[in-house]
Amino acid sequence: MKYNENEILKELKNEQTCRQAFSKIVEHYSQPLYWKIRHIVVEHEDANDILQNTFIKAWSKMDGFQNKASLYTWLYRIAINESLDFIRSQKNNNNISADQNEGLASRLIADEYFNGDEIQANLQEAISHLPDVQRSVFCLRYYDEMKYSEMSEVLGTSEGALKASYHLAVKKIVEFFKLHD
Amino acid sequence: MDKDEEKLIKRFGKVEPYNVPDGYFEDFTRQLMSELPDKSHKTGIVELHPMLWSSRLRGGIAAAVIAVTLTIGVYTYIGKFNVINSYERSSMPQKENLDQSKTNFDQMADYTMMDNEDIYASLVDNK
Repeated sequence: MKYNENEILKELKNEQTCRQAFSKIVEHYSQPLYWKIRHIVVEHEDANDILQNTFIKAWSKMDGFQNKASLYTWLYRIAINESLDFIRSQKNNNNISADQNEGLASRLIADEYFNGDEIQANLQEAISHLPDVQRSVFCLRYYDEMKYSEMSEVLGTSEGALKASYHLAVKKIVEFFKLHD
Repeated sequence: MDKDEEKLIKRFGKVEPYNVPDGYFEDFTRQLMSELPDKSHKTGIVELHPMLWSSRLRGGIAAAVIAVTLTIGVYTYIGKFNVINSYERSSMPQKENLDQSKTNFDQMADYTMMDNEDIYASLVDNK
């Protein structure tokens, strides 16, 4: 069935059709949202939890969704914020420091839900050393090829700041490999 | 695209390095919808009537609590002071007791706005 967002937004306002309409939203957005989340948080189980939280939050706040932003932007914003909250809470709860990102590459190679080689695993380790927001900017641009204009709406940051952030992130990753090669 | 980005893409490509369990996305929607709360039941959320907690009422309650606390504190302090005073008086030697009486008498004279000589004179007449 073709996804018609205008129709779905109308159905959401009707108490009898809102659940069915929301399930269409979940079906349409779950994959793209999942990959954005996964690139930031790395582990499948964590990405699954965050994806569920994203939709549950969206469901509870659906009445407040005022069509000022697109549904796409709104959902992505919730997903990215949930992901950032998660990695920050990981750091606070476990006192994870940058040093503890060392060894991520070898853990990923052993992970059944990672099918990259050693080179890919090393790249993920380099990305994990980036500051939180910079990490999300890098992943959204590099892997998802999100336009800066879209990213600006999702993250609430200017396009110029995002371009600078991405440029810095790339530079840091290149430097990381100069040190570790 | 700058040179650094070109280096990255050349070395690592943009291959998706992660995968998911079989059937994950196919099952996800069904599983999530089964766990989604019913919108008509706001379980777990206790909403207080907004009027109870208006800022004005909160301010009034706070002011009342402060006033009561101060009042109790003042009465307690005065009460303690009087208790201490009466305890101290009873344990004082006789001479000091007499002196204290005189002081009280003077205070009473001041209060009644009578001259001390008149009060003393009346006391002498009454003997």
